[in-house]
Amino acid sequence: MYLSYVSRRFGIMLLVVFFAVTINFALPRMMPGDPIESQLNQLLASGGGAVGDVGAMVESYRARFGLDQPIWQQYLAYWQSVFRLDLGSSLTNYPERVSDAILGGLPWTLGLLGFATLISFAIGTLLGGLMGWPRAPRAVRGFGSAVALLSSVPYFLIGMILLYLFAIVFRIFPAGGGMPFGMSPGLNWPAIQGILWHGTLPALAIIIAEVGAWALGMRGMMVSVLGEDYITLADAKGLKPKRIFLWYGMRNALLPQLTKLALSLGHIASGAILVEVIFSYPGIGFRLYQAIQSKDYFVIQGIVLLLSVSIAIAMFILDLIYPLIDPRITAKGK
Amino acid sequence: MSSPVLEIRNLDVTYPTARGPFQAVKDVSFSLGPGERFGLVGESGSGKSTTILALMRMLRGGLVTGGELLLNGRDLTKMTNAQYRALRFAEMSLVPQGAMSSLNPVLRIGRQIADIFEDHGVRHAPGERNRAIGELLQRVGLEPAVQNRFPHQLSGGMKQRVCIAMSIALRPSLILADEPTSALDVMVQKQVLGTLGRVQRELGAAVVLIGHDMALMAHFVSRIGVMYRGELVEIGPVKKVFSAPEHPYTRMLIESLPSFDRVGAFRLAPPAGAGGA
Amino acid sequence: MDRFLFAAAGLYRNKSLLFGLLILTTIVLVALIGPLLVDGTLSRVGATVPRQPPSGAHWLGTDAQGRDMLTVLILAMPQTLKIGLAAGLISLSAGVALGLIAGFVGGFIDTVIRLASDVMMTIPGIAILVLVASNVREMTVELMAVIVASLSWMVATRTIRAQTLSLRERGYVQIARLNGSTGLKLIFVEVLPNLLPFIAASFVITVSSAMLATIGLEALGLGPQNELTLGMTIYWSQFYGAIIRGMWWWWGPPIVAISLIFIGLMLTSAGMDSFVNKRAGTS
Repeated sequence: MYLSYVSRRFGIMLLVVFFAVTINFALPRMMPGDPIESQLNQLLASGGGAVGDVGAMVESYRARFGLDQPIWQQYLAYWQSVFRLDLGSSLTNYPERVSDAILGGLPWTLGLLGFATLISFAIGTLLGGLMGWPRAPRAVRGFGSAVALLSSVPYFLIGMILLYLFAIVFRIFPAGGGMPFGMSPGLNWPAIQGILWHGTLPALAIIIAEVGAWALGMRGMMVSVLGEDYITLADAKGLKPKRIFLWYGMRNALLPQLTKLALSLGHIASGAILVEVIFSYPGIGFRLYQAIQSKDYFVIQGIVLLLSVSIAIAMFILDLIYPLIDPRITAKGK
Repeated sequence: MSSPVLEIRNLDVTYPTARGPFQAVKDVSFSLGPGERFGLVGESGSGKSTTILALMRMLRGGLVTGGELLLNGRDLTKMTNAQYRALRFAEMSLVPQGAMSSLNPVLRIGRQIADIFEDHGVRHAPGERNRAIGELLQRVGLEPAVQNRFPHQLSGGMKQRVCIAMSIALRPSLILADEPTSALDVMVQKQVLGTLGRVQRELGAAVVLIGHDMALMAHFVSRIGVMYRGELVEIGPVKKVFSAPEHPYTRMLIESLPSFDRVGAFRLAPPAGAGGA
Repeated sequence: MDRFLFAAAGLYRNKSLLFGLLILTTIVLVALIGPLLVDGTLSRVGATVPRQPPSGAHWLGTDAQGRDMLTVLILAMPQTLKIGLAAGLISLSAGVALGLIAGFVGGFIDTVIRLASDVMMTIPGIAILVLVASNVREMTVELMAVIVASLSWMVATRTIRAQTLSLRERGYVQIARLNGSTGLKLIFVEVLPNLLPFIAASFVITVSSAMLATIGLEALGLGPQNELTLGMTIYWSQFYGAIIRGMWWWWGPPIVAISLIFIGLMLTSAGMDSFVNKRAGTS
């Protein structure tokens, strides 16, 4: 049964990848006019980039689109290049390969996103569990409701307020960047310190906005779990409240919360992109913003592809972990 | 009769509702001697489950508004919540109604039994605990290996047996069984009830069995009480209640039984609110 | 009249729905009436002295290009609401239609619709939006609504499909079916009216997610460059470094307005949720 569950999730992941690649391929070709011309016109019109070797750029476009070939051959060629991770070259920094540009930003984004998601998931889940627990102090519920309201506000707006307060008005944290100017990343204390220092505000923006969402979801689950018969029996068994809370309540309410984590990855990533923009944080999101500003189409395309594919893979991994935590799934499929 | 295990005197339970207070249990009194089997019957909403929940101090939203509850001579109404927690399952245990859903789906059976030991301060030498749990399961007719399974891997009857095993884990002097067989099919019902009876006899604990199936009840208990609209309308030895019911509701309950040893019982049940749920 | 009183009493008890609707009503009123009271020319580039902090003449100050921020804010609100509502309506209709079809027809079509919505929920909406938006020559408010709508239909589809499936099994629908009602009549007479609370609830969620996507796109610079919206105001303030320059009056008020809209939507949605669930519980 586990096998059929896994293969279904795997199928969905493949479909997402297929869909993402196909859209990436099809969209520029669906737009009216010659895509090369339109892209170059847009680029020139914006006066963007060091338009050094225009001839090489046009060549690069031609090779990319292979417009003289039949459409299905173009499509196959596109898939081949995706598999080779050959996403073309940046237009603004011409010879730089898109894949290199993305790889440069990836660690920053993964670090920021992973850290912030983990923290907010942990805090939010615990907070939500307590909000749904009748024995918890009332202050917890009040605090939780306030935080929950914040969860509806886009991350980057919270980021803007944090930036203004803690980097401009009170100069506690740096106003942008991933680490102190002129420093290069490495495994030494000043670099780590610098990275943490610069990452605090962006991470905080995501955490503040995200904690409430997890808390709300968890509260709802907790309330319905606490109505279950096994909670009544646990109570009758004379178990300690702490054990009932953790192992009978939280443990069961956590399962749907994890599914939600898989489903929210896209949402969180979208939000984090904008937070990076606000803090000029050197991750994928900020690079995407710069690419949009300079109309660097291949970089945009590459980042979009990477985002979709990596989220599909991350979701698949979470789907694989899920049955290990819920013994029922392994038996029944889903 | 030696001093009673349980004595309930003039119990009142009230639920505050939007339309004013609703008294679910009115002036109920009865007592149980050691090892005695007592049955409480009545339709759903008659207050029999509420009585049990009041005993366990597990009324959700309801309040004990009067009366005394004495367990082994101690007044339960004067206990703190912490004292009550320690007392549950140690002196008075519960076999729940919905055995199908009463086990935590994500914990192994052994873990759920071990929780009882741990939270009541019962210590075992390493390795000893698994053996103790296995023994407990064997006493209710299950393999010791069942402790390594998850609830969804057990049948309904097995789950109910696990619940019975739990209820005797700390050797309580009173077991409250709230319609323990209502979710099971007839064959399994008898087996499970048989198991409950056997472990109860071995343990010497008193049992309050709740149900609406008079026939099933009659085989199991020695004394029976009938509840109707929150009141205990009749109480006495099974034989007496069956042969000479005093209250019209009891009479109706007995007459609606398709019984073989009661000739002429195959009459239509009386109308208007007749029959248990 | 009784029904009205009953609804009013319910609203009073349902605080989050009450506050949510109150906030939203206020915002809609400001967006409707506000533009009639302000002088639109003040929102043009160079209309006033740039970079003025709030004062008696300019209550919310002016931006780096000499626009009066209060006027900009008031004119931007209806535009932003327009995108959100239009996108919400479009994707809701699509979502309801797909959900009904999936729930009623079942079989292969159901599988396809379910897979499509699973896939769409996996792909981060903003990725597709960025791609589409960066391929469009010139962005307008209307186009924005359509693009955003194409990526927010899944919530409605899922909810309506699930509800349709459960309704299908209910007694009265079965009876109507046995009585010979088929297809469209069954859907419109027996099923759709019972779905209304769920449709209303998914509408609020859909509008909310559409607006979130819209404002995100705008902040990335992919919004309608020549129009005034709340998101574009944020974008320009970011573009001209308003935070670093300490010009809080430029980005602060739009943030407050956007946050209020989202909080209003969220409270409404939470309130509706408990309302809908209560109804479903008692019926």
